[in-house]
Amino acid sequence: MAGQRLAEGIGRMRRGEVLVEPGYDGEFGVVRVFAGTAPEAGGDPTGGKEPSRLPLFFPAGTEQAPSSAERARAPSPSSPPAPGDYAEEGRPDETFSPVGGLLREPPAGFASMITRPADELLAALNPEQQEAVQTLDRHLLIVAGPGTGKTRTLTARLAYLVRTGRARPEELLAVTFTNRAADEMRERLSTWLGAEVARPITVATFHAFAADVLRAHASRLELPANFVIATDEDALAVLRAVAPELSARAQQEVYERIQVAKRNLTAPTREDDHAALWNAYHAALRAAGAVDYADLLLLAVRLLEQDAEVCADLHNRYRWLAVDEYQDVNAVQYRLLRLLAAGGANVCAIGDPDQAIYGFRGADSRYFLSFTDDFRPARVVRLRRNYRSVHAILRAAQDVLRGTASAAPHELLATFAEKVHIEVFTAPTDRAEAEYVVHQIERLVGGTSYFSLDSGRVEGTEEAPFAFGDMAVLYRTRAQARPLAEALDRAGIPYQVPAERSAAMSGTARVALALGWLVMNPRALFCWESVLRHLRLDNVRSAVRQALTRPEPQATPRPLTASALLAQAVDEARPRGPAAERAAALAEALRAAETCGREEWLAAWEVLLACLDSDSPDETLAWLRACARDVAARGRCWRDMLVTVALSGEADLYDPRADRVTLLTLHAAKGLEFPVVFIVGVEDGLLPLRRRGEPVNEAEERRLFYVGITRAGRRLFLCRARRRLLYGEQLHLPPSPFVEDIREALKVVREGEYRRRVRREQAGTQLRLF
Amino acid sequence: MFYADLHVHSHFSRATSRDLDVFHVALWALKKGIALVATGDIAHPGWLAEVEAHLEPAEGDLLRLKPEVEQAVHERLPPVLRRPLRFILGGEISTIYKKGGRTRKVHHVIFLPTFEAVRAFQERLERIGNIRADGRPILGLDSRDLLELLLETDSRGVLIPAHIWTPWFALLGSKSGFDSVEACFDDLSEHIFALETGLSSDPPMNWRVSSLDRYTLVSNSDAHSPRKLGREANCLNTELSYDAIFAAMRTGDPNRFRGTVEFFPEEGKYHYDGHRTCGVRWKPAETLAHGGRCPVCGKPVTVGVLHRVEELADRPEGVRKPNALPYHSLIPLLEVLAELMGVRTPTGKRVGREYERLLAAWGRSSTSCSMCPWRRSPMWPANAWLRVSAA
Repeated sequence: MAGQRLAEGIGRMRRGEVLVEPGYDGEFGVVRVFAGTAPEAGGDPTGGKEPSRLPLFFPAGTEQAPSSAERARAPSPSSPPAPGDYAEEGRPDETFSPVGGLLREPPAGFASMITRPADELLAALNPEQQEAVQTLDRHLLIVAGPGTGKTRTLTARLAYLVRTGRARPEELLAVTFTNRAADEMRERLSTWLGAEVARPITVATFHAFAADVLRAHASRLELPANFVIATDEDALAVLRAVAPELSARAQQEVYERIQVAKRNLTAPTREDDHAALWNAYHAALRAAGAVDYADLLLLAVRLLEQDAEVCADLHNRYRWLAVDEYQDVNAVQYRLLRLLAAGGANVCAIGDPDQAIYGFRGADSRYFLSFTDDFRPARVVRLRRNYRSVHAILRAAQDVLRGTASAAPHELLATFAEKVHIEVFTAPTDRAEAEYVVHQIERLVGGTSYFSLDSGRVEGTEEAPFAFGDMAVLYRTRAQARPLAEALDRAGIPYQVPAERSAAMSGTARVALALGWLVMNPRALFCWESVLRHLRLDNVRSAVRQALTRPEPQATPRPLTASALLAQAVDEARPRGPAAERAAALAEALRAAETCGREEWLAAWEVLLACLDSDSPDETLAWLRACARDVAARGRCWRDMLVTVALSGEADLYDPRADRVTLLTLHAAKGLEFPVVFIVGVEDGLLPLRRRGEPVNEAEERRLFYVGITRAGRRLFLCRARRRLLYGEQLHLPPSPFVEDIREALKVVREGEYRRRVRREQAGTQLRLF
Repeated sequence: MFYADLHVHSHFSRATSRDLDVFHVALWALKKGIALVATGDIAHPGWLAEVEAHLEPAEGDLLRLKPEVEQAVHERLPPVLRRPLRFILGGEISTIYKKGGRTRKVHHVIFLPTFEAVRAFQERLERIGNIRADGRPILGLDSRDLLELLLETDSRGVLIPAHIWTPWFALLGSKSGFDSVEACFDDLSEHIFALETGLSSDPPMNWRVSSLDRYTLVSNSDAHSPRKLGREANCLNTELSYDAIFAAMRTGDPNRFRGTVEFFPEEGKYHYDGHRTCGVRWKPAETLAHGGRCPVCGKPVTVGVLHRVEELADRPEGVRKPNALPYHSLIPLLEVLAELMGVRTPTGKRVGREYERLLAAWGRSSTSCSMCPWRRSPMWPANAWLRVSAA
């Protein structure tokens, strides 16, 4: 070793005599002390493996007008609107900006902005929306395609009624399908009117509204005022208890038939084999002071049909009714609405028959189509201006709808234009499909790490306007979420799968809910069962069961509290050791909850949750706490919280504040919007879904795909796998026919050999890294 | 006085060396003359378990090797390098989120005093995102909220924005950063007291931005393999304790925080502007002259650190900020050796043998570890240079 040279080198360094080739764009710089052969600056231009570039713009003239065959298929003569063709209507293409940016038109009616409050409100709407808001002399059906400002229009209408003095806030009733939609509507109303003015407006889901009505008139139905709303799992447990001789599958089947019958307002006839079970099930449910979900609506309908007094009360109170997602109402909801409107209230329904996707749950878009016959006189207003999606995505959506035989699609006009293609990707396997999605997500946020940039996996120069929260991956069945979640995990990309949380509702959260109900209604035996089983207090459980099933002297219904009942059961069962401590803690917490004041219930609820002694930090418990805080913030308490939790669905668990990629079923995605949407598994068998032994409702599946596409604002990816492992089976499914219906000019079709290429890229760059 | 490297990774991070474990970190830290090194990857439960298996509590909320581990490490070192080594619980967290209509990507180095605090912190992060996939997790969380969550977990928690000038993932980065500390951390900005200069910038570049005057500039290796440890480091003159170290940074007291050891900023990956794939490398002035567009592909070039500093600077080049601390630029000894021996990379066997020989020889007689008084000095090991200059 040349010590001399080393000393010289170090000497040069000390004197600052170094040769410097600065680093740039991810390439390390080189600092040397001796001139000599330095590695070439700048990367090998061919080493970057530039993926084949797509044309940034549609080449002029390649946008194909629909063929004559397509045209012929599109408008069926009986359909109300003339769908027309994009090429004929004031081509939105002309608004394409040269750099692919967004152009937003100023809101229509802007010029007429004057200071009168109601006019100010109208000024924020386009002419179609204004028409909807100002049509007050008759019933109104608003046909609102995706992204056309449905909630905005509906809430503006309610606000307009209040601002112009046509209605007092408490005369308004708005009914939605999800808590989330209700929350959103409340929020908008507060913005339009101010929180104080908006508060008396009733905004609720069908079920929550019915639950309120039942509670107010519980005695007329021989229900306790604090009746419990049993979850599906609870109700099923009750059914199991009355029909222990049936197999689990048969119990499930009977339960579902009961639910379907209630939704369709078809009580079983004496010949039906489940008629006896029906009676036993309901007797057990009522003995526990409980109703199931379907009962809420059914009993409300029954109440209104039988009790003229209650009916008149409601007719006097609610003069203006608004119903969201009207294409999804089922028989019992429809009946309830007719009853509510029978006193001459004005009805405004909004919806989109093209988005009717709940046929399998008894929803029937025939009600939508017969609105003008059901409610007379009525007007129909169509909202056609779409404020969500770029032109290409809207056209693709309409191409998909054109395939439906039934109704002609309602045309939508794009507000935004951006030169994008819809990416159609075919992967060899479902895992490769998931890798593709992850890669695209990385690309769209502009790289998640130096690794993704330095390896060339993501191109540094790409514009990165998206964050994780802007993106959603949609799929037909929940089973498809798994490879996606695994791939996202591997990449360390944050994501949420709201469906998983709702599945957890059958775990600790369900027990927590049961515990909450017991404070209200200590006779709910199935609640005791699930709480005490969870706490492993089996002796106490049998004692409680005995106490509750013991025949009581009818004349003197003792006032009963949960803590007293528990104390009595503990006396009989005499648990020992840790079990005794758990029982004592529970009794103490129940006592505190029963006696707490209106202000203290939130703290009491926390104490109760603590009794459940869940080992792991449970996300669903955190969610329950958050729900409780929200309810408390609205000035409501205990029972409202329980009802809110009991009536929440998958879509309600989606948390828009988290900046994460969202994984959702297509059904749950309804009503949401994301700038970037991936739909995976676009295969014939998943879209449309073909289940063995079940008929395929192809039209509804097509609408479901349409709903998925129209969630997207700026980018849409449609992915499929040649080979897929689903429910333990290897599937080789052909491409979805729905994708074929999208005209070629809108699509970029790619085929992936994906995994191998990534590996090679990674291997090639390993040495470059830190 | 001692050297501290406070930003390293573990083998749980993506794109890191497989031997980035406690044993090798300790081994190389001692070779490089570092007395205090961060454990790295503070958010990763798997790594925490490994750390707990190898380290035990020492004075002042720091950690030391367990005796059996220390013995194993010492067996691999010449006697002169068997010196005390302390660890501090700290590691990097990446956030990607939207604020003010733009996507922001910021990296942070986070410190906590105790295993309990780290566990509590991980528990909270677990609810927000996936912390098990990557030693440096990516969270969809506002930087300000990350800081709040840290301080809620433990009021002694410390957050230092990492390599603040790099274009893609930094507080002041050109691509997805902010224009000031305050714009990023809002009402919690006062809890930020130090900034990491990163490999691509040195203190004089930072002195040009007067809004950064109140922050102590720190330097760390961000090592993704053990041999990169200490390529940048801090020189501290405090007692060995968690609180004393950060008190020195908080006050910027030149007697306690003695300055930093720096890379030549030109050696960093993002010093100049340019396009790697197109082979375009420009000084900021050249980029401006070309309107920021690459002549090869026509797309905007990646704006480097120098350019970004120029954008935010309110002082001319060469100005020294009032309370400036000393710094020393150096070239890693391994690289000097590689160059002398005419090989391309310093990872070869011959270079390694020579390096080990020099360590054993030079380390022997020097016991006091003082910052070299010269403008530029090699630091591998920091004390080794004293011997060379005397020879």
